[in-house]
Amino acid sequence: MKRVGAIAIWAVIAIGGALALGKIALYRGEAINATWFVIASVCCFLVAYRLYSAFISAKLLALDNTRATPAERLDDGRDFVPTNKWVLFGHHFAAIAGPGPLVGPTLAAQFGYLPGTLWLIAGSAFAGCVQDFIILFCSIRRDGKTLGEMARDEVSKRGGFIAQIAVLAIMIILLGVVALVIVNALKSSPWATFTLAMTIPIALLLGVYLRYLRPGRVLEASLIGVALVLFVVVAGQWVADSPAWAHVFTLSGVALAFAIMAYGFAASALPVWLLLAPRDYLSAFIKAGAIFSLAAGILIVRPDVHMPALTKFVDGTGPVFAGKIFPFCFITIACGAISGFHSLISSGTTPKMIEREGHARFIGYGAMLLESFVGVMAMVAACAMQPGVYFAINSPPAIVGAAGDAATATISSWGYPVDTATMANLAHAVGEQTLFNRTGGAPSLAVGMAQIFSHTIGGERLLSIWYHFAIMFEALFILTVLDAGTRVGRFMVQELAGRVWKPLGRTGWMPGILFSSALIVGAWGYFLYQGVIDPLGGINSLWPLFGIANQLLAAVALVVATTILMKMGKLRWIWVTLIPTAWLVTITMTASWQKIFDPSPRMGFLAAANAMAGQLTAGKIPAAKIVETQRLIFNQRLDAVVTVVLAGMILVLLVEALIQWRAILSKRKTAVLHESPYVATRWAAGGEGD
Amino acid sequence: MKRPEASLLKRLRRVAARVWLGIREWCGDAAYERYVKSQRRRGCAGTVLTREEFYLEQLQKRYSRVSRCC
Repeated sequence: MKRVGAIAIWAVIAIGGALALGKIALYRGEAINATWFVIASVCCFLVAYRLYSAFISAKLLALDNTRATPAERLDDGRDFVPTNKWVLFGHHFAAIAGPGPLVGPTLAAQFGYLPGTLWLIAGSAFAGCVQDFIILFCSIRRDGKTLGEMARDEVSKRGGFIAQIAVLAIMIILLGVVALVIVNALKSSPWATFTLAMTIPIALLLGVYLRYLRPGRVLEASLIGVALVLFVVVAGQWVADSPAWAHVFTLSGVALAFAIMAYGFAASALPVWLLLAPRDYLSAFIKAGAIFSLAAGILIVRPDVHMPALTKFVDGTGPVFAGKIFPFCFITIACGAISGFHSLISSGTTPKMIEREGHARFIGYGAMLLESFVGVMAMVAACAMQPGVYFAINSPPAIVGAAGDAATATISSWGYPVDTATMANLAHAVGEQTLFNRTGGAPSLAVGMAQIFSHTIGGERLLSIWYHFAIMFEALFILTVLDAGTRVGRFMVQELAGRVWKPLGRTGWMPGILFSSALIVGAWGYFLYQGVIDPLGGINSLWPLFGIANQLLAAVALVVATTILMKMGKLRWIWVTLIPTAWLVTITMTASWQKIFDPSPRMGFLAAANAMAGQLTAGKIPAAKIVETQRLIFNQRLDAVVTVVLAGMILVLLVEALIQWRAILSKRKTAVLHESPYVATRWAAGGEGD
Repeated sequence: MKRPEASLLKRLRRVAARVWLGIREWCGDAAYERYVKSQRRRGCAGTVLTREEFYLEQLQKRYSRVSRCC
């Protein structure tokens, strides 16, 4: 009877999901309510978790709760700590949730709401969650080994080395791009710049509090910090209203870029307790609060989605970024559906803290579903505003024109009506000087979030506070990635440099710290700088580069997972990882090819460089702009080379894996798994998901 | 006989205490207590780090590897 009841409930969830999905896919009216997006995604995610993840657990991985996890066997109270599955889910989610699922869907909204939403749902269920879950499982079975170590052991030595270099290269691009998103959000905005700048002294204060006054009392320190941050969000309005102070905090893109580089360098070189850790604590609470509030706001307000299901920009002529729906919708969404970076977390801290093997399903598969749900909410927030407003905020001046009238005329001529007065009123209401040409996704997401929040609490009066709260939340989110990433990048550089000259590898040697920090900041800082001076706004060339890099890392993780599954003898079910691998290789290689060789200057790096070089030779560039143009030409060629190197590394890894697979399948080579031996758990074995 | 409100109150308090502990564990506030307990359980009570030493060691480890994603 109980079983019949369960089947009935799951049937209702499945039918509800299918109906809601059908509604958002087939609806072609004026506006569709956001509730349909929530029902469709939640029901699909529940069904995917109940059926697909259970299938993977049982058939593919055979999760074994009688087998002691590394946390139990190696429990040292420090690294290896058996942790309650809900707490670990929270840890894991806080680690994987970054700005990508917020920014990616916002940018992909230029194709309309449908392609992005479908990919967020399907991509996470069949690729992203699968990757996170299986890599977590593989790492648990190998005492918490990293992705690079598993690639070396299971694929080949060269494979491991490539994975290590790929991680470093991808991290550099990632940091440059996310820093660009902050710069674009803070440019000419004294309120937002003041708020974010103030989070640094607040973090220093908390650092001293946690180190000397009340060591390790994270909760109370974080609550004090959150209160102070909320205060500076409000205080930012006074700064913006004071001409003298507003002048101090009104910075150009280039000035902001150098300020962020200085911050990254400081966070990497200073003791971790002083700046990096307390800012991370602050960010964790605000992150959790903002995501929860956005979900609650969407459920309470149930806004209408005004963006059409599909826009005319599926043909690749979109103003936000160039590229057709295939492959650029998938490349742009990136982290919300599948993120290579998650495999570093799944093979980092989480496997060392998991209490039972069975928990890997809830933590690995489940946390990614939640991340994808955040992506769907970001899509709703971006699409809830009028499409004309969305395009006015996200289009660079080189496409639509810098002056308000020119921009609104261009955007209205595309069939998305917007007028200068509406934009001016909106900018005034959110406390900004202008909302035209605010590329990068963060300002438009903040407008969307502020509209939802202000409908819940405060109305129009609080719109500006909510907008700046949202900007602060996004920027804090990104700074967390930036400083933690710079520091990890510094360690990677030191490890590699230590092979050349030993002292550089010593993590406590100050000249080594300064040199490697400067090297890593210089590397991502260069990408940031080139984005800031790019006339197309930088996002057009750099976000796809980031997407390609991220998806390539996901391909590396899935290649490692496929090799391990093959060695485990799971050939019958190998399509679970093989199909997503093939898909990722297809989209990344297509996107790489198009970004390098496409004849359109907006699309292809080489075409853009050649077009500018042609203008230079023809003497069409004014003398004052010659040096800048030469730099732009160099940057486009550099982007082409970076794309070639990234794609080349993955192809080499793929060839390495194919050689391995052939040897295993033809039985020429015995498949040797590098799993830790079975040890029975001391705890009584419970149900799989307990 | 117990009043139903009293047992409900007790249950609510128990749930609230668990949620509170969960939040403390999630943000790292309870990490030191857990560490001390673990050291005692394994009979290493003599080599327990101070709260400050433990905090600094944890931070060093956490931020030496990828701890945050895009």
